[in-house]
Amino acid sequence: MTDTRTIRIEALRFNPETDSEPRLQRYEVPFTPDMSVLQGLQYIKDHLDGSLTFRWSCRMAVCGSCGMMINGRPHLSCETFLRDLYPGPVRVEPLDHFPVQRDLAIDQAGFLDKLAAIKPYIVSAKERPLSEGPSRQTPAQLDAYYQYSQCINCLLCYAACPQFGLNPDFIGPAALSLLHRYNLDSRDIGWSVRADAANADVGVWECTVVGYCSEVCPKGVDPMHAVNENKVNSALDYLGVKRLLGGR
Amino acid sequence: MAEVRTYRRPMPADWWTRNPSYVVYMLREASAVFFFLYALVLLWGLNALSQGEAAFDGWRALLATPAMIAFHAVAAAFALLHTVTWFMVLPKTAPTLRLGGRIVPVAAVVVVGVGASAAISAFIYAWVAGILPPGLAEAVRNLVPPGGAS
Repeated sequence: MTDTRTIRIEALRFNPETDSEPRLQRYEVPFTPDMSVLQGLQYIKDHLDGSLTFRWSCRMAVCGSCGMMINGRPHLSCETFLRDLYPGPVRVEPLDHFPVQRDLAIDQAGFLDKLAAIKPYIVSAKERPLSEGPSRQTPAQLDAYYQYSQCINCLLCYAACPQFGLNPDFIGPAALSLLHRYNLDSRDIGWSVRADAANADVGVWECTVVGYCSEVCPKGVDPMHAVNENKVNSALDYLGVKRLLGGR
Repeated sequence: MAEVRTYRRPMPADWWTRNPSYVVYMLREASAVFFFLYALVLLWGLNALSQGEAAFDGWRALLATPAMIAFHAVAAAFALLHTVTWFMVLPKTAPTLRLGGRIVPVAAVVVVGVGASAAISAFIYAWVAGILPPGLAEAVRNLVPPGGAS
């Protein structure tokens, strides 16, 4: 191929069975202009070192599996292109602030617990029988939460959040965005269902408005806005006027 | 399921120097220190005022020293940074602002906010310095009762 160039990829390696701490390993990777960082890693796995471990699935910025630190910034490796990083080197590391499971794969268990804690499903006031048909929404009702429903749980926002780095118990940007997404849904009861999670010490008040989460979000979710709008809700709740003033 | 052995990378003390977004954040937060120190200087002046003319003049003389001028220049720079960054995060910290059903653009909130802040600062400065335009000065005199602020 005429357009093939070579770039050095430095990957953080950690094998929990043999290593006491991570180390960097360098690979010289031939690439064409259409290749993403993820494809560079797949080249390594297929041709240079089959032991390199990383997560991926869709390869099109939908599944949220392939997030990693690329040259110190959180990115989806499927939509970051080697041609833009040439001449390199390209440093790939697991997402910041998470425990490293193996190589570029982080332990997501903490996040999954937080996700469960915010009840990421519609809680309705009463059970609706199937015979009533679908719950219809107006375009305005859909618009109220649509942006927040775009979250793909890729965890880039957590890697961008120094507050989460300092306190791993912080519920964090993505889970709080999803809390907001369900609260805003007209089919859901709203605030009262998830008030405890938002009001907790590790809830919205752990956020100090760094704002980098919203910068790195690949889906335009704007977690910073979701979290901080709920500081207003949490304050009104504390003062006992949340129900009086309405809102979700 | 067996517990997975993981490696937790420590967060270095200089974490905030590694990303321009974090640097801006830390500078914004550091501005609070200068607001605090500036408030102390003002309180000091108020205390000096309560102790008579000599004490107050002493405090004013101290303000004219190079060290205090340097402090005020730095504090003013941080106040400016805080003002601009405060309005930059306002669209994120406040509920979404809508006008006639349309979301007000973030840039508009920042420009109007910083503009209003600059206008009020300019007005207060002109008032205290006695250089308000005649019409405005007249209006202020009517608003402030005799014996109030001069």
